[in-house]
Amino acid sequence: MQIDWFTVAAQIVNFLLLVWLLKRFLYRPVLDAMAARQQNIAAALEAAQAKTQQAEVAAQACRERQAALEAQREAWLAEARQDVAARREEWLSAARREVEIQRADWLATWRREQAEGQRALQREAVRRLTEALRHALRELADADLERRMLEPLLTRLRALDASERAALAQAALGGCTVTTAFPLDTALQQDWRAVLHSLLGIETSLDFHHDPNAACGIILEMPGHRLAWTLDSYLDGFGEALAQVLNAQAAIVANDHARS
Amino acid sequence: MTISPDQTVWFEFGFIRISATLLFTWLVMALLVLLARWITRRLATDATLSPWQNLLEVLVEGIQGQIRDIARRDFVPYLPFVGTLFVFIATCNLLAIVPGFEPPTGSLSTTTALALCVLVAVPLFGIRRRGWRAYLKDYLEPTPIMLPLNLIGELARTLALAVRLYGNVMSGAVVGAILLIITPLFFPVLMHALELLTGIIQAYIFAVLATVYLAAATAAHETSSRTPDSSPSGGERKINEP
Repeated sequence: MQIDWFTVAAQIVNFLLLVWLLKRFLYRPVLDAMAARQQNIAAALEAAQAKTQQAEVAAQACRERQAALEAQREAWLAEARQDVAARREEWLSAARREVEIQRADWLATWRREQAEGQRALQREAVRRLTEALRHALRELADADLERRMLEPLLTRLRALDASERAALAQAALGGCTVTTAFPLDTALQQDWRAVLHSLLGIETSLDFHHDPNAACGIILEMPGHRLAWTLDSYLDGFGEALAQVLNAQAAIVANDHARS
Repeated sequence: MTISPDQTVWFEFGFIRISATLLFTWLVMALLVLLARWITRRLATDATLSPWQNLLEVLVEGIQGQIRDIARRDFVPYLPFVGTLFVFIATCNLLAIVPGFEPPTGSLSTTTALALCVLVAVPLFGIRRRGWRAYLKDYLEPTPIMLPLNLIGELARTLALAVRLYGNVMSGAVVGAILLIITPLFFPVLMHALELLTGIIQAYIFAVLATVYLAAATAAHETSSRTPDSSPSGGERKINEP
């Protein structure tokens, strides 16, 4: 185990030279490359950070814009809802008014038709009732009945005051006509002449006619005057009174429908 | 069989003796420098690395990590020295597997030279960081009576560095040669593989011990100096600064 000091010195020089060479060709380039890579990575990270911040700012702006659009959309929707509600209310009001008008028209029409129907029904009822009575009375009527009908007419003549009798007498000068539904016998015709003569105080020509279509009763006609007592006049009065009662009842029913 | 490559002299002129140690040292130096130059001529600074660049960066990063763990301070001033120690010793030991190659680290002259470099580098780095007074004062600690013992300690650890490396490498080569004579088949192969492991470990131990000595020489700076810029060197410098 010997030490060659020349070799020692040469190895020291060799080692120092190797240190210098490796420092120049190995450590410095590798460290520089690693530092450059770290700088690149740091720059890339910084750029990525900057882009992230930019993206965050853009995202924030986008979110704000979206929120603004959402708010505007909500405002538009609220406005549209208000418009729709107003338009709906307007249309509903118009529809209600139109329905009310149509209902009023329909109700008026219905009431009118109902009233007309009721009136027609009443008229028909009165007509049929009157016809029935008239038919019944005709069935019952005969010469004796008409003879008995002379009494009411004579009662009315007797109830006339003097001036009316004078007017009738003046009119009777032109001739009188007695019309009945059944022919009067001669005795009865003589009785009529006597009664008129005694009531009017004048002689007048008196003609007797019978008309089968005439109403049951007796009619005394003279120029400008006419006196009659027939069952038709009673029946007509009965029909008018019955129609008045039925019309009043129909009016009460119509008012009740209108209130409901 | 020669124990040391110093005994193989290729050229001699006066006191100049070009032995196998020097020749193989130059070979290793040329190999390392050319390989480093070839790899580092086009270094990529992006994320795509060549395998060789990746190898170098792993090597440099590993040495940096070891220095950082041991010295617990900026590794940049120590990196060329410690790194070159490790790379040179490891390369010499690994090339021992090549037939005909005699590792220069098997020479006591080489290991002595490397230990002397460490012996000189330790005070240089210490003085550079702390200054003359502060560094030399450590030799008088804890009392001036300890000065001889401290000096002997410095020489002893230098001697230990040289002899440890020389003894391991030389013993491996000698034992391998002996085993090759006794059992020429499989056992020498296993011993060579073991020598590879031993060579790497010895390179690691040498570099780590050098780092420890350097760190110890400059560690007092952290406790004795209140301001980092109080050293004459003005603090540490980056390796790529002039």
